[in-house]
Amino acid sequence: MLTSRSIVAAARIANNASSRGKYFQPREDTPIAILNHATRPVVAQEKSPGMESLIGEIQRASEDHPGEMLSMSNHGEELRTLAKIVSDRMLNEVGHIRNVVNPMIRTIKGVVEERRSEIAGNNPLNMTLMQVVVQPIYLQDAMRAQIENYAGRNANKPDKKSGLEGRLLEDVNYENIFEILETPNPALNTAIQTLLTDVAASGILPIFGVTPKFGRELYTNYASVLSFLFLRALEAGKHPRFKMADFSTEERTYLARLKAFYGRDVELILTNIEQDLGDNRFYMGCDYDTGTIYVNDVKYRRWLEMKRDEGACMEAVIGALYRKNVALDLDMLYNMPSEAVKLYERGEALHKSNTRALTTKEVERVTERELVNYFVDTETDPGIRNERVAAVRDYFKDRANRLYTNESQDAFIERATCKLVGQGTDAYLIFTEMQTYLNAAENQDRNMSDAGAYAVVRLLMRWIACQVTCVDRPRYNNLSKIVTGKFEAQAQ
Amino acid sequence: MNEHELANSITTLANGLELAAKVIENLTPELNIADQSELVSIAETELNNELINRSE
Repeated sequence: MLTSRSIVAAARIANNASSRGKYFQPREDTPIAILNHATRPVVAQEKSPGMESLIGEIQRASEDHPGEMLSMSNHGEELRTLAKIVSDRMLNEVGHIRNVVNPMIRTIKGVVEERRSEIAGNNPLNMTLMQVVVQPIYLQDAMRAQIENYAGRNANKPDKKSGLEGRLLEDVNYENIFEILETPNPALNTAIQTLLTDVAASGILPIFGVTPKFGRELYTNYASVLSFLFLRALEAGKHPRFKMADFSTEERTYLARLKAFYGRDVELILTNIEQDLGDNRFYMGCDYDTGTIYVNDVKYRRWLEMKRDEGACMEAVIGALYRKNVALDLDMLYNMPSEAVKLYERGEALHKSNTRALTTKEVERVTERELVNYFVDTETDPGIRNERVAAVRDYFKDRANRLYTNESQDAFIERATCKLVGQGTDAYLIFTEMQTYLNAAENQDRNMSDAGAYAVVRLLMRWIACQVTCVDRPRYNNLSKIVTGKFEAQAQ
Repeated sequence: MNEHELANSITTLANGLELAAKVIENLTPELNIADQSELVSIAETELNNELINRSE
């Protein structure tokens, strides 16, 4: 039996339409037509003011009267049966979306996201500046004072004394090295500690190695200065195991020559650093594999200070250096940094447009590949499998199905997956309705479950509306008013 | 004829709404519907909107 709620709501719609001269009737052979056939004809009352409420009339007409009319079906039973068929179909659709379409969309979005991260990571402008610091020990007057005597001396490194250097280092480690190298000068000690912190980070204690005199290693390889300080400490009796008296004359001579060599070496290092810091050419090389640009910290900071008004900044350095196979124009960088900034901005704009074009193609390619894989993996019947795979290929060949420029990549993936994996269902319609619902400002506090229910109802009502046809008739304003008045009164 | 036609019009729409209400009732546990009555109201509004769209 029809409920008064349905009849009152239907009357509101029907009256509204009748005031515009329109009436509704079911299309033939539809579920609504079946339900209408299970409702007895409503007997029209000519005298409107005295007529019985149409709600009651219609309700009575839909009551089940077993045996009264053999040709009529039972309204309640028809309603239950039809509702079950529709509910089952809806549940199948929702189940397919939940269990197949949605996970598939998530998978494809995940693969696309991975690819997107890879592309973003390949941005040529994703370079970092490594500021190569000048160790304070090289700028210490106390250090300079210790090696001044070696200036201009011709000191070659003596041939190695078998086993001696190894023995000297046996009891030396990160824990006691500062204790050994410590001097009476606090400022020099602070510089030694800073140096040792850097050495500890590298994991190697390079005593008895030799520092290169040019390039980045002049600043980053501390072998010579450490060796000199170590031999000076040995001479001062600070070695944890050996005193100078423990060595033979030959060994002491060797150690004295070695110390002289390192003294001269450190003096050369200090001179070279002093000379190097005299100009502004701060660029020290670039590792394109790791995207690292090395700059001399002192000179770079000085350049920033001096050329700030002319555009000196990190972007200028990257702009001048990010292109691997282009001849370096360091003069431009040092003297006209604003020109290098323009190169950076141009590179950035180019990368953005490349990324967009690339990801559009990538998204299409990844989506097609994942959908093909899905059917290959899940469809056991070879005939149906081939048919599905061909449908995927055809879908992506069709220009109308490409990723539109005004469409988000997520929307593209959802559309393709719903249409191909959700084939034969209303997956795309439900998905779109859910998105619209969730995007609405008034639904901010709603969840996916609410959105799913809403989408199903929207789909359901479209389906029901399709079963109803609208017929134009002359207007019956008086009747409309009477019926509306009665319904409104009853509804209240 | 006019009253009869109106009554049929109302019956047609009422059957559509009744079917929708029954389907919503059936789907309530599966779709975790919190407020069945709210959805029935939405159904009524949606039917009205759909029919207006289709009849114009």
